[in-house]
Amino acid sequence: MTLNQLFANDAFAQSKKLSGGITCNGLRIQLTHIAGKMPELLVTGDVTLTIKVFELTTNGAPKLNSLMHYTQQNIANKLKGETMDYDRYLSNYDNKANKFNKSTQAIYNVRYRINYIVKIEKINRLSQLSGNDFVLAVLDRIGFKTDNLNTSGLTLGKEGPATVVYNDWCKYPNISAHEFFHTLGLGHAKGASSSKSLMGEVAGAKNNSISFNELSKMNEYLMRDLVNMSDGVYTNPTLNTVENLRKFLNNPTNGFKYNKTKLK
Amino acid sequence: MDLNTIKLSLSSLLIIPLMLSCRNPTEHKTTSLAKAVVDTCKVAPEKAVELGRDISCTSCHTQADERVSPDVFTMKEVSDMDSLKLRDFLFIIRHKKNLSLYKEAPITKQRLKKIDSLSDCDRKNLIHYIKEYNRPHLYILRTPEDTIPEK
Repeated sequence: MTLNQLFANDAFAQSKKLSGGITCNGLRIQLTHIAGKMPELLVTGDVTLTIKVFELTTNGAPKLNSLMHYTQQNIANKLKGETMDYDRYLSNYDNKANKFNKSTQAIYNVRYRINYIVKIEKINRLSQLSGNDFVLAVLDRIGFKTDNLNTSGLTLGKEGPATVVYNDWCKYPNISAHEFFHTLGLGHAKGASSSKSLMGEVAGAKNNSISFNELSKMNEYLMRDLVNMSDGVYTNPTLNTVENLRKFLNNPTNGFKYNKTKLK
Repeated sequence: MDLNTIKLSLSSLLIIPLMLSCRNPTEHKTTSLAKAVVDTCKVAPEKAVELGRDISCTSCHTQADERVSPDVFTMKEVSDMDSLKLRDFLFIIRHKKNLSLYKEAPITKQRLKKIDSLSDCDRKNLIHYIKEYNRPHLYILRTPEDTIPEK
């Protein structure tokens, strides 16, 4: 049992709210093995994703609540749908004991039918942030321009932290989901379809679709700890969020403009 | 007299091969021997991602922090390897040895066979994809200029 799982079990026993970007209370696994075919695991259950929105603007963000509500709905809708992970090397699933046996391994096709519950919480202080949280910092401005376009979001890919400019978020409500999906491992969409894709490099009102491949990639990232997630109470391991956010915001090359007194 | 004639003819016989040997008959061909070998392989990020997805390293090399089995590295560990070591380790030592293990996993077996059939350039691209896994990526989202009022 990892230290994170130990903390998670303790928090659960004391009926405290679980902290972390990815939390769940055991996933259901069903093994199907038809002779001559690859054994298949069907994974079902609820997984909660929590994103902490850190408001760091100078003049306040009056539309923040409605933007957060829209973002929550948008992310939850995008994460709906079944995906498959082929030939995944995992601990052996013991059908009788209904759990994975970490001492032996096998290869499975894994079918995910996960119900993602998306929660977005506003925070005002750095102390409200944990090391294993996902964070979206809301800023006044990101100070560099390229090709006569403004920078409206900047994210350190996979695990974050993510940032958006408040004024641009008001104009393009989808950009927060775009930034969050970078933290789940997605890159920018390329090619002809990128003008309609949520993951296109330039934001627009029509940019709000994701492909099946992108959904599969996010599922693969979110379910990377499947064995532990199926074994009772789970919170994701540390992402070093607090330290990474502090470094990211204080890096002068990023050109962030925000209310520095709120970061303390 | 006769002796002198013999000496002269012998010495002229010696001089001719000497002169011939001192000449460099290939002098005008040296440029064609020094042929430059141009590496035409370009590492293209998009091609690298496409190859990485096709081979799907993360099916076996988990993205989680914990190894699935003691002898199979996590993707983070694989990405941490030196490129040269990676080339030998991934393409030669391990996978060839383990091919027989995947007889019940046709897709994986097919993927591993694909690794063996990759061209040198594709291998470079695949190594680029693997190394990129651990590198931090900064994603910039842009919007048209009028969205931020100047202060």
